[in-house]
Amino acid sequence: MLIFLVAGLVAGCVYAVAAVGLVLTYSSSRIFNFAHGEIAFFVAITFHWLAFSHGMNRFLAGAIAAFVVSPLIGLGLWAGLFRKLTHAPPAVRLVATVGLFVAIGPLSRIVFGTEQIQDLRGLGPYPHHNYSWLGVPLDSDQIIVLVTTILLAVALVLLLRYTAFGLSVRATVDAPSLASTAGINVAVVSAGSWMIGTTLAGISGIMLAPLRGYLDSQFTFLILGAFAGVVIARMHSLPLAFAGSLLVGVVQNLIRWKPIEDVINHVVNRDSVWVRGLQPSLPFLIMLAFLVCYRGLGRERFVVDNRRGTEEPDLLADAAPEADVAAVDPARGPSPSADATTVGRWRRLARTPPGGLVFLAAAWLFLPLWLHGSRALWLGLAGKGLCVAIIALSYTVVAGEGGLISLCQITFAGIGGLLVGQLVVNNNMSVLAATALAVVIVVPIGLLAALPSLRLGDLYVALATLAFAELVQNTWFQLDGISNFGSGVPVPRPKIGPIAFGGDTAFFRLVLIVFVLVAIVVRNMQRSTTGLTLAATRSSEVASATMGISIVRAKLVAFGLSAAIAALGGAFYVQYARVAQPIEFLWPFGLVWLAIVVTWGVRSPTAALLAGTLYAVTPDVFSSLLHLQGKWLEVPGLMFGLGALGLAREPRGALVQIREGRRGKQRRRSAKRDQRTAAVA
Amino acid sequence: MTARGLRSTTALALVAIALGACSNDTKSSTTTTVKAGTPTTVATKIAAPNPCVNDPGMTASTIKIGVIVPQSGPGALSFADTLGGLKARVDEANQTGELGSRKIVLDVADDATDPTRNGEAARRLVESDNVFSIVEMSSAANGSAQYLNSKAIPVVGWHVGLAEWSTYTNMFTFRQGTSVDQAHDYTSRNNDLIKTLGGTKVAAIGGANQASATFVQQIVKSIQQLKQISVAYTASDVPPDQTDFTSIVQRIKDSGADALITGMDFLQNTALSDSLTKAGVKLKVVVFPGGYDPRVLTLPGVEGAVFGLEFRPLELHSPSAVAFDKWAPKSVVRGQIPYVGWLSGETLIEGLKESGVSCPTRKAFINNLRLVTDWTADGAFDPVNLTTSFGKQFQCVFYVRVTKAKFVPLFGGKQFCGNPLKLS
Amino acid sequence: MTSPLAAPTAQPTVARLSVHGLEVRYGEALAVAGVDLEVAAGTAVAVLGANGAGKSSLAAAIVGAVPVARGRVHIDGTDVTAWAAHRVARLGIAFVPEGRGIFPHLSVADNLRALLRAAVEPAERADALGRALSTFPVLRDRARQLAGTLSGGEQQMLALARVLAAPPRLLVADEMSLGLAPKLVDLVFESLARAKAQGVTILLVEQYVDRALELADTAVVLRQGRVDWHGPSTEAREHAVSGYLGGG
Repeated sequence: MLIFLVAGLVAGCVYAVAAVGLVLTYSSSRIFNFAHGEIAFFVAITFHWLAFSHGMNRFLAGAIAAFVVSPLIGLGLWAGLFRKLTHAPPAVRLVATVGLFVAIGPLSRIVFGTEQIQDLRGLGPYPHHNYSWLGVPLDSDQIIVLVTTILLAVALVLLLRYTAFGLSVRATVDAPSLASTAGINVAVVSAGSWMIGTTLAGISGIMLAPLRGYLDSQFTFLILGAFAGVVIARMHSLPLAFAGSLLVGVVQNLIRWKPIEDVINHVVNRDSVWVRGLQPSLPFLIMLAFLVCYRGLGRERFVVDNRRGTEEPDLLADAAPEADVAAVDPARGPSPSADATTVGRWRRLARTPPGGLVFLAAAWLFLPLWLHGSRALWLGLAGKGLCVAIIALSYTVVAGEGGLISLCQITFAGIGGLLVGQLVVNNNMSVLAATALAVVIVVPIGLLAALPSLRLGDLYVALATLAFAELVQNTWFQLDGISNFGSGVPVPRPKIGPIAFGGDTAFFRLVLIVFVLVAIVVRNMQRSTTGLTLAATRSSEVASATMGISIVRAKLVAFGLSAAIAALGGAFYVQYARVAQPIEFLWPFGLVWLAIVVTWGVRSPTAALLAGTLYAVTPDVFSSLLHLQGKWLEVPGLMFGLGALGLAREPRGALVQIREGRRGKQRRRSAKRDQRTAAVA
Repeated sequence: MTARGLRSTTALALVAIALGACSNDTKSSTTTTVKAGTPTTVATKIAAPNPCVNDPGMTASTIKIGVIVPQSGPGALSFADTLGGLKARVDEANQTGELGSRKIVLDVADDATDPTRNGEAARRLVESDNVFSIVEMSSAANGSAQYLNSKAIPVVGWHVGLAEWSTYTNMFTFRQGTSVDQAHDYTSRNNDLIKTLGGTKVAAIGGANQASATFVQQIVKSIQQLKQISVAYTASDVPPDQTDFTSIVQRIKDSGADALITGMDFLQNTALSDSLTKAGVKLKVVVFPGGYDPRVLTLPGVEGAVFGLEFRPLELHSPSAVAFDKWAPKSVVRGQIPYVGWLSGETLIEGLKESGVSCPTRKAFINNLRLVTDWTADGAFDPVNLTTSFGKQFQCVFYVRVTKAKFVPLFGGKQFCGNPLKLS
Repeated sequence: MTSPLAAPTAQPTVARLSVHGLEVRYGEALAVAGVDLEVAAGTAVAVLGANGAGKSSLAAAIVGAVPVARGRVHIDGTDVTAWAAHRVARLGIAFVPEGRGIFPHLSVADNLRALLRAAVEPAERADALGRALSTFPVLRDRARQLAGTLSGGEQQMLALARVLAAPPRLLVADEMSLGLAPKLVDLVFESLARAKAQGVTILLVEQYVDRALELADTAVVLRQGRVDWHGPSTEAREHAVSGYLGGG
């Protein structure tokens, strides 16, 4: 048994490095670095490139990668992005790191090419030396991991406990506004901690690549394994993060120990996909167990301490209504609203739903007439874009209204779509009937996914929904009947009586109508009691605390509705593709959609439409319109990720920024007009 | 295998037939529709038209061939290198005038290993770019299979385990594909291989995904059914990020296994094998399903492992291998992935030749290539009858073993065959 | 970029505070609607008023903990209006916020270290810490205990110890006596008197009108964000009481 225990500790150390980095960064700079693993990967391949493609001494290369490149990456990200988000709510910061997560893979392929690194060279000797300790085989790479992890842990403890900087970090973590008034430059401390976090990521990348391979998927999974440690640590305790990670490693290995495995086999069928999916899901099950058990996991402690003076720019805030934005100039008082002019009135019309409907009706009529013949493919893509837009509307509901960053919307879409496939093929249902049934079935599943984390902070909701996504992916998605050896299940285009929607035109028009109907439902929800309750929650934390149970109910409604919308979008997506396959609904794709929606504005159905269309159309624009090849094809993916970084300038999304930019121009123009009038008078 | 799965697979075939019969999407094309599931009934070759009638993609001097291969996204790492081999074969054909007055022009599209984008790429190539035929080297090829079948477009490439290549007769994998009922139509080959190489107690390890788990289940079942050797330990739930195998190694050690067959991702396979060596576990047989590439020869855990190939090892210098080495630029790795691209190109050229170099047509391509009974891809493998082998699980594989950091062909360089085995 | 913990250079020990037309907004709401205030060096001013009158916002704005919408704050002639809180702190300004200015998860000793860093030169920090711990014996006893586990009164002693061990130029204290037993309230005001005797300029936000007026030289009564009355503390009482009910 000792061997299983030690194996578990080694595996746990790997998770611990990530967990400790995440917790340190989060508690001191309030950024949960979703892209921790991606940064680790990027630094790892930079190290490999320096050491083995350019013949640099590998220790020098390692030192440069770990202590120059990693902090620089951190500094660059801080200066360019996170500095401007210091007062933004956690949701915004989380999505910014999601954007990073999405962007770094394509970036690394653009910079370093698509050739896979086949060797496992690292800092240690190659091929690695083998040792044995207490009967447990250990190689030099594993020893490097163990030793480095322990050294890092010790160094961190010393840093935090005995240095001035460490004291500042602890004080900032504990009570940032008090720290500030006590003379601590909280921004610098946060920046420094963030840079330490990216350095930890870099070091872990260099250490771990020889063990796991220089593949970015390996590093994505690394962070998932660390989630449990992070939750067990309640986002602030480094020792608990360490211990929690070791626990995960140990549990993962102990269940292979024969006595325990036999007990499990006795109880469940080992070949069943549900049991098979347990092993990879263990970190999440552990995480969910702690989430549920922990009490007093309230909102992040910072919120309680912070006496924020102004209304922080909020991802979830309404763009200020027209009249008020003719802003109060301190010196002069309100200036005449530009909307009194005709132009202003037209502009307003174009933005409100009736105006938007006119535009969409025009598209419904004329787009198919323009995109026909050899251009019909683009109409098909527009249809795909609408399917994704419907799924994006689910983000508008759950994040825009509910204020929850849910990372499993794509999973709901997948469940919806895959269910349609099953119902059509196994139960001979018509596609549209199957769609309706799938949407209904998904709602309770959505509520189930929401429950464990609903009363907790945004971050825990994100982690819990991601855990849910992984669980579903590891189990239900792997069923033979669902995955069908990679071929999926065929899905026909819908049919209502004699009318078939198989062609591009018919399908596009059908899905456009569905999108509009869903958008209307979303608008109505925004104005309903539930919507107003949620709006109140978003703008005042205190109010939410006093309003009690109706908040939870409102959030559940938002979650359930968003799951239904996502399932509906997924159902139409599989009809577009004519096949229902789990591989289309893996959570990393969902992150791309989230990033695009948030870039444009997560409270606006227009943004959802833009998100879906851009996602569907951009890759083809690059390859067939611009005729780009090779590395350039990674650019759309990169752009989608980087778009989320635009949140730094306007957390409410680019649409708001554009709108207010125009209003700013109007204001300046009317100000100039007033000046001229005043000069004349 | 569950009844549900069987229903799905059968239903899949049936729906495929039904859908293949009526294409209603865009303007119908000029060629005939091809029924799936059954080989073409026309037993004689179709002659090239004279005077020449140009199919889409053909002019007097060029033939435009579409290629769908992942070039972006994480899947690009696994497939992008096939392009190098394909281009090399096309270069040879163009420069030696194999296609008479015409030269092949490649139009490459990216599908990012996403089946939906694969379907979109196929549509673009066929409807916008008007290619003559398509080369598919992607694990997402199922995204366009039904569409291309409905338009009777010839497709060549690499099956990568997808049943579509054994369902649609317009699709030609470079050698032979898998069975349509992958759950039940299997082979005794893995069992026979391990037995022949001296293994008696097998450890079968797979990853926690359907493909890998099925791979392990099929092997385990075949061994249990044949009752010649036994299964000592099996696990098909290894998380994709696990590279520390101490626990599994301990269990394998305790089970007394002397043979290992693993279906995880390549780096995991080597890590497991390496851990076994470190733990002092002596295995007579270690089998990896894929990964034949000179760059892996020095990885820890590779020494002594047996790799399966769908073609004659390059070390044997078949005419195909020699030509590949001659025409592929130095930057192209002499390994499985690029060579598969070369072989796909070989199949493409063969199809064009069979349809008549003077005036290739899609109809003749599909019909005549299917009638070839002794296909070897210029010596890359033993003769395959493309008519009778269609829709059936391939039984024969070439094996190499890594000995002193070199690939050494086993069984005297001959292919090793199993027999069809129905799994219960 | 100076280190986040740079100690200030030598400075005079007193500070004059001037506030002109200060406005503090929370979104659309105006918490402080134009306040003027002058505090001569070495004197103490009591800021009185009902709940919601804007006292805490005024205090927070002066030290830079909340942004100023309009107006100016000068300390000894230096315009600190737009300064970040940590910069103001390094001028020698101490702020004891409402609800105890302590770091709950740091030990008592670490709390003092953190609070004293900006106030004291590196060479003198150890001495200052020693002095602070000696100010109230209970602090020395509980030096390693987490500050969050101390009683309310003990927590307030922490803040007072910091003030007494390294007297700031200006002390802004918000409701220090809130929720404390009478004996502890006495302790608070005695300590404040000691600080004043050492020359610290004090701005005191208080609900205990009588004690505050005993200590202060001048008083300001706020109502709805504006100055309702200001003048010598001896004349303040009736204005303060009429300003709100339930005071004292």
